Amino acid sequence: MRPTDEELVEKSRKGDELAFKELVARHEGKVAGVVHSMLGATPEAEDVGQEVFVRFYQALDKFKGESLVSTYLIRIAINLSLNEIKRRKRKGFLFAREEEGRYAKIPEDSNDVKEMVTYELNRLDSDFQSVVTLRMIEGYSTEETAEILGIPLGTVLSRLSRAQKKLKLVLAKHIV
Amino acid sequence: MNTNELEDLFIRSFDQPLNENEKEQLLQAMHNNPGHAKDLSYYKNLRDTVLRKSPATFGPYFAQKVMTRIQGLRIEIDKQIGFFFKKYQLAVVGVLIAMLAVNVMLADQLNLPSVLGVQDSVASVNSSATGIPDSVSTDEDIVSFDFLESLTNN
Repeated sequence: MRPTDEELVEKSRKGDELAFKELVARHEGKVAGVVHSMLGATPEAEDVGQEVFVRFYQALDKFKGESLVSTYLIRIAINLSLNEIKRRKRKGFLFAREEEGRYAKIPEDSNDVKEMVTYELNRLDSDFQSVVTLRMIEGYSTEETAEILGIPLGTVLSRLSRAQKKLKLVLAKHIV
Repeated sequence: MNTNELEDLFIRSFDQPLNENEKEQLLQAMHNNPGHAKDLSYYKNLRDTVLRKSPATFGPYFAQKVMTRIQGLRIEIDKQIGFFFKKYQLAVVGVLIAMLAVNVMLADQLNLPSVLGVQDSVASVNSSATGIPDSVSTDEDIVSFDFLESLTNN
């Protein structure tokens, strides 16, 4: 029988590395979705993904099981991705693809709609980014989004509305 | 219902079920003004475009990479702990050497007990056996006794 996440956490606490590896494999997809949505498929995305699980491993003793393992991991992923976005903003670039070993801004007239959306998403305030990522891109329900971010349902709805209106202003020419 | 309210209602319809009255209002407004419907279709297209269609992954061997990083982290922590204790061990050894040096400088004689600051065991035994207080049996007494004994033997 497949062990539950809680059982794997308990085994990991006792030093069972295979149990933790199983947890990583089980939740990689969800974490990758959030990190890629926020950072794009950049080299840092995988680094951030690894860091999510390392932080979780370090916090195993503090993890009381009050929330699901996936919820806990997504929270860490959102926070670390937002940190990375801040770092990028300080360095002068937002979401960008790597070109010849350096980063280049996505041109305003890019034909890749998905890339444009991620680029514009990165320009939103962090509060909006996390809500849009979870609800609109990753497809979590409104209630799940509220739980993961620890905010009221009404706040999720209002942020989604405002974020979509902002995105409409900049993406209207790309999305007909 | 003005355009802004209509837009808000339409956006909300993706994330929360509308009540019957709201549904009716929305349908009525879109029916009366097809331009609204076209305008609002942008939001549906946006959501269709951004919604993830295929599962995401970080690529092959991701779990193994994480485990390697965790093991590396453990080794690093062990090293730091080792360095921390080594630092204190060196400090303790340093203090002991300094104390020894001070003892050497202040000692009357350069024999081991006096350098180490240890009470002479012969003196202690003698004093406890004879009942003479420690203060009476000094190093000088013992030295002179040893000297006399050696003379006698010779």
